[in-house]
Amino acid sequence: MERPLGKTVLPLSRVKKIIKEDEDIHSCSNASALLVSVATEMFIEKLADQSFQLAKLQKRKGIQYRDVADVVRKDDQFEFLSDLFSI
Amino acid sequence: MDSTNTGEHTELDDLALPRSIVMRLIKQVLPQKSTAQKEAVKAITNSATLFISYLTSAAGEISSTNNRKIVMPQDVLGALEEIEYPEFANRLDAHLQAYEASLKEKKLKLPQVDEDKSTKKSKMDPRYKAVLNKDNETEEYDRDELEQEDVAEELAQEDVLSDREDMDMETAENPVEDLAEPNYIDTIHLTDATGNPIDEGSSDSDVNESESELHGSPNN
Repeated sequence: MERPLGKTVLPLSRVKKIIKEDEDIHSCSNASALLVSVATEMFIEKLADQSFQLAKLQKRKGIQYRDVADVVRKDDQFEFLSDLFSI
Repeated sequence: MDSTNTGEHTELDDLALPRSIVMRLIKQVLPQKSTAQKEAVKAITNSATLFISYLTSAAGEISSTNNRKIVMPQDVLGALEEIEYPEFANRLDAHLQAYEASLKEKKLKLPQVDEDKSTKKSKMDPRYKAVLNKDNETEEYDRDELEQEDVAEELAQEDVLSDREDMDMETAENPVEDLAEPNYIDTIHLTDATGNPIDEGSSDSDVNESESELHGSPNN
């Protein structure tokens, strides 16, 4: 799980593309894009982990859509996603 | 179940991160033998795109309150606090320092790199193709396209980004000089050395990145 520092496994160009969607952003340094990318990796791991914890509570080995939705519903940290899950 | 997460979000699909990479990240936190339903992976992928926007927007606000046009790394770190993900900050800070250290290293090596630029370039493509072919065993074509497109974009965008950075660095007064300076010097140095070695450096490290990532995957 520990990856080399200063690098990201996500495609930086894709991350930058998403960043550029924001019209308030004039430009973004490469180091900032890298940090956003690494933060996103950590975010994915966090969301997956919490979803899995819910699956485990129900004695399941696989994450299902409702596990992800339940995490978003229950955890304030994921509140910004509630529109995506139509909650 | 399907109706809740498909349909109206077509623009999110355009901006989606590659499914295989997201899948790999998910698998890393799950015990072996556990699985993730397709809809769940898609939901997490879309969430990741929204997270990027969310974090970026918060970071952009911090930079504009500081009267800066460029989003700097310290804005991203500050934004984590803002959006209530402070637990990411320490690790991100470590990443930032490693990244800056590697930039400095590249800068020192640059004169030699210049010499064998042409050989390096010819080596790069086949290597990259080999990586892609290897990947075909597990992933379908759409990933191939994504990656290639990404590299092309990267080349194009890198230019724009560093150009702008360059300009703004000169004019804007920067409160945190330590962070701004390495980038600035690096850009100057890169452009001085040859015509367009910025592309050279960035694309090269990108290839290495995806290569090592692909090599590492079977072990995980």
